[in-house]
Amino acid sequence: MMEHILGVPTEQVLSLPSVRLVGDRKVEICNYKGLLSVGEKSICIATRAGNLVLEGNRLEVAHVTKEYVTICGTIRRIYYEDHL
Amino acid sequence: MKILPYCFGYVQIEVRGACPEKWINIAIRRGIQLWDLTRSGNDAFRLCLPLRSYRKNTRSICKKVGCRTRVLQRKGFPFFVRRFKYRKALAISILLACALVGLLSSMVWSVELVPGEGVTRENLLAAEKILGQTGVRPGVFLQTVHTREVASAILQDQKDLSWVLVRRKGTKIYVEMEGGVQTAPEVPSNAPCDLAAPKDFELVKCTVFRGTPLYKVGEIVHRGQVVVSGLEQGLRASAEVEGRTWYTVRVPVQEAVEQIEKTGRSQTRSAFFLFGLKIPLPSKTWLPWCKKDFGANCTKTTEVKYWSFPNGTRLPLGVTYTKEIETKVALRELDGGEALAYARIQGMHLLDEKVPDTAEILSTASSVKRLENGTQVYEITAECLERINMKIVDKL
Repeated sequence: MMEHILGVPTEQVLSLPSVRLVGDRKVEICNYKGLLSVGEKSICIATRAGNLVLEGNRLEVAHVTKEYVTICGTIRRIYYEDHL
Repeated sequence: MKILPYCFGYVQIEVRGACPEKWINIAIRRGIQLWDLTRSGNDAFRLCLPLRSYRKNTRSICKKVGCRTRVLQRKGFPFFVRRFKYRKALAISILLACALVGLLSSMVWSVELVPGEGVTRENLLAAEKILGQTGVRPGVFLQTVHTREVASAILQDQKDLSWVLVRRKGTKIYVEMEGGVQTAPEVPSNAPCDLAAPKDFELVKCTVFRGTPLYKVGEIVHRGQVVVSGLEQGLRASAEVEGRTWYTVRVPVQEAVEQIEKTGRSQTRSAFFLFGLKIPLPSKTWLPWCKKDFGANCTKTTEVKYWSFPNGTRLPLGVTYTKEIETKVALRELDGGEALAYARIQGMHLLDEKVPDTAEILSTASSVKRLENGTQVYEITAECLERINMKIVDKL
């Protein structure tokens, strides 16, 4: 693999989403494309790897910029819509 | 609360339309930061964005997507300041208060002396005097206080202090002191010498460590005479000598003395003080005589009342009450008994100054003598027992 030869992280080379989960309280997602739907129970985020769905309670987009989106609330499930 | 958005101002808006997610995605692509994004209905979102981005981009995004926006709240410093547009006095007051707090927090509020072991009242008074001379007092700027210099000045002046520390803590200056004697290291000398009497005395005890004693106990030694010899044998004489000494003072017996008497007029003046600044307050007992010749003949007592917190912390402000009592100098004639009593008191004062602190007074004797010119004198003689500091004579 090219990324292994160059020593560059895969998500940077392929622009794949990177998800960082802090307990069940917070999720930070880098390399996303856009927000598809935002609700209290679920949030759907478009990425290059597919539509990432977050399910939980009292979900809220705490901060969003071009590079990353931070979601707070009680997170129960994270999955790719197409892969389920 | 985010500090930067607060500084530049931000708005909370509601985006309502058929597809508000589109509005959000376009805003993100244009580099607008969004936060606290929540759904407020089936077709609406509530979110926060910077004021500048809102003014610049909202209208064009709405046109493109077909959404409507409504400002719910305006927050941040620019909106806070706008409140004072028609309240200039309030704004100026706030600014002045901030400036005052800044000014007061950069000043010395109080100077506290922290005496340690062996520190006497005289040490504290002397330290206070030096603090005054070096300009360390309430009201001066903290930056102007050079703690090390002040500490060394106190230490140099007070030889019976072993350690002084001046430190700043908040707006207070603490001066910590420890007693003790700074002893210079003794330079050993082996040069031969004799020990001579510095004054006349009767030898009571002589403990010789080196050398030969030349007088016996009970003999009178006169000033300058060698008591312990060492030069001839090539020794450095060393001895502890105790002797009986006599101190005599003479005071003329006066028939009249100048005395300070109270005229019976007095007044109390009060002043408000803030740091070093004193603001006189109008006094009800303001007498006319104080303006004319007051000051030359008066005694003053000043009482300072600091305002303090319930926990005892003193503030650098309060009220001073100065009681001024008018006095006059009057010549008073003394009768025989009074004149002698007055001379005796004066004599005792003089004797107290003359006798060294280390000496033990064994007895005193007094007599009245008439001199050749006819004046009467009161003579007091004190017989003392003291350790004699012998004079070193190292040359023949």
